[in-house]
Amino acid sequence: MLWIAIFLPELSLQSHCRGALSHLSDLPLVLSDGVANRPHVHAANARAREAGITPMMPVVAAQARTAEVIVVPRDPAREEATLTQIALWLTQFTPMTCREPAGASLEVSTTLRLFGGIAAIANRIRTGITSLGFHAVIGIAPTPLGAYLLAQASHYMAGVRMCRESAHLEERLRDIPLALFGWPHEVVQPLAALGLTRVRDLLAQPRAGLKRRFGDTLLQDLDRALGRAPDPRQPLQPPENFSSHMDLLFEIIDAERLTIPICMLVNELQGFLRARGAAVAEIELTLHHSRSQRTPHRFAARQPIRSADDWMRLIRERLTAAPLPEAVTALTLAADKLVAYEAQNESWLPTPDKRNEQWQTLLARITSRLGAKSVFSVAVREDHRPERAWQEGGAKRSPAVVHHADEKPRPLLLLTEPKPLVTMSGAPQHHGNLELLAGPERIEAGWWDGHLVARDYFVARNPAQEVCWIFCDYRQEKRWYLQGYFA
Amino acid sequence: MRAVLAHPQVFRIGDLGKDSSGSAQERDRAVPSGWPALDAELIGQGWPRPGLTEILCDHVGVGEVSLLLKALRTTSQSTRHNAGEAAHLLWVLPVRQPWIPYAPGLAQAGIALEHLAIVRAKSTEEALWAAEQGLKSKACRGVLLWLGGAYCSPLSLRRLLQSAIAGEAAAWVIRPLAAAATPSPAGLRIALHPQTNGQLRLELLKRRGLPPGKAIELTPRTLACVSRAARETRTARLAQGARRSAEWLQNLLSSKAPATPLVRERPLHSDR
Repeated sequence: MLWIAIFLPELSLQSHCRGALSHLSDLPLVLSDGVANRPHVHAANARAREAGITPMMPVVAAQARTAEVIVVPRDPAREEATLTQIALWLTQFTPMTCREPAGASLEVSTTLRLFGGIAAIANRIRTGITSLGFHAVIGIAPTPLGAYLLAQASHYMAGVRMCRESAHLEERLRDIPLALFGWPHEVVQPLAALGLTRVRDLLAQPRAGLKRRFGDTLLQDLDRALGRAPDPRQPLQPPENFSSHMDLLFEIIDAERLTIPICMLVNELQGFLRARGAAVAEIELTLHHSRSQRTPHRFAARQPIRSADDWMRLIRERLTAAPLPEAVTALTLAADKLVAYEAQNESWLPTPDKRNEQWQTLLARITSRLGAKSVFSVAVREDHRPERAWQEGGAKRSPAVVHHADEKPRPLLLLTEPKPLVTMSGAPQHHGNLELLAGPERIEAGWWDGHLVARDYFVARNPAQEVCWIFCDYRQEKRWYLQGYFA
Repeated sequence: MRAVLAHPQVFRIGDLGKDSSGSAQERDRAVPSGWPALDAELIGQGWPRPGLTEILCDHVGVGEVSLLLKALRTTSQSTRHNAGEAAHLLWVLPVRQPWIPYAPGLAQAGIALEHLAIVRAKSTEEALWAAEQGLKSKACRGVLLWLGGAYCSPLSLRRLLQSAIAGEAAAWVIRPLAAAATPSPAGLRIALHPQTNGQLRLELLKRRGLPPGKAIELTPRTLACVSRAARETRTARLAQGARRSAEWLQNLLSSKAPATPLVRERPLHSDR
């Protein structure tokens, strides 16, 4: 067993303001908590701490230190949701992932080889969590509680916080402060009064006395951390759908700046999809504006994709094409309809598969910017009526076309609607007198579905040398129409 | 001097059209136009790739697509020879035009429809953007940008050329004849003048490495098609006439049917 624990020291702060990190680097910000008429500071960012603001200080006192401080009320429910999202993102490294009070722990002994060793996996976790907009510290130990304690300790104190062997665990945990166990105040206070502040002080005491005085919890936690007692955990079950919400704290009107928080959400999605072994072909990004207005955007790819970069490319095309209608205050990214991901081998030389993928990406990109109807493919349909002898292929592949050598000539360009032609003493005109070159070819079909055509087709040429495909509707008193060009 | 002239790097105008014109690499990458008379006048023996070709013509239906047909066919098909290369074709339509490429006609011409995507843009900027993306993507071997009468600045054309070089693709731009007066970075500019006898006169306004101003006459596919159709109709008519007279003669000999031939209205294409 080998556990990696993540501790997020600034979870409450970052879960509220990660969407606006770039704005906030030089502004003091605090989260307020407590009763409404006398709120106190729950957490403060680096700039606020520089100004002398500390946690548990009354908000009024904080405002007295620096007038420009931004106070945001704390929302524990959102912290919970954020923590769950991070834990889901971590599921991509191992299915055995569980939540901790302010972090998560993962059992990685089974997947070490896949990710290339403990150092590589820890590195990936650290950079990945940074890309989600959070700051994480990592602890490694043979027990989950031990790893979590080490992660916390590495945030608060200097020193190496990694232990791979159970034999060394007790030695590494000796100096850990008891406050990190998260026991209630009634337990920690008497312990401190007795002069017991670290794990080694507790280990030196007789167990029977401790049990009598402080109950079972204390000794049980200690045994679990040291690996002397079993610590069964329930792994987190990833849900069927992905949905993540982010408040931006500030209004953003510039699409370019909006891509930074969107990128964090898309990274979350990528981790979630990796964990599920899935990909999605469609995602929905909702931009929330003030006065509870919202703009939903649906992004569809030609084939299911997983990579955050590919999704970002599509999203960026759409958002930068037109200015945002209104300032954005929050974002929601949702994806349902997960499909199994099919991995493809990388190749050094460009292969047809690779080209096809590039082609699909290109089409998705154009569709994303110009609209769904802007790109289409055409295919041949079995029908005698010219306007029904083709169909828009859309994304589907057209069937192989049988080439008939003895077919009548068909034009290369077709008018979507036949254009009525004027006649002069019985002869059709189109930019001048039309000279009939070939024909007639009679097409009479469609009585079975109500779209009857009864036409004589001719190839004709006008004085500008445009070769046209015209027909005479012989049911309607010989009216002439232009239907195509032999370009 | 003879030794100098025999050197493979020395290029002589008189050699044009022979195998030695253009470097081997250029010949490999150029897209054959399918018109021997035109190929002979171009330095790589075909449409330049990567490169930008401008085709200037004012009317729709004078043979501008037929001119490109062979090239469109080769760019949309993958053969054993170019298996590793991109084999897709992007066709950007002009803004607000009532027509679209017609699938049965294209299929008749041998274009692989599953490798063809058509873009219907709402503005010239969008059309230029889509063409640029297609050229840059390395997924297309050719992009046909039909600008129609829309204005296109030399700068946009330069961007297209740069994208074509980046993506190693061939770009064809169809513009009005009036654009011949404005400068352009395109390596090849051809003005199309349809003749009254059905021939298409190609005026090479600009070509790389060779003096401009040469004109060639071609018979576009349209006319070949039409003459075939006319021939077929004539044969059908003759066949019908012959059958009728034979019927009439037989009836006359057996003398139990009316003495005049029975004239029936029947669609011509159905009796072959």
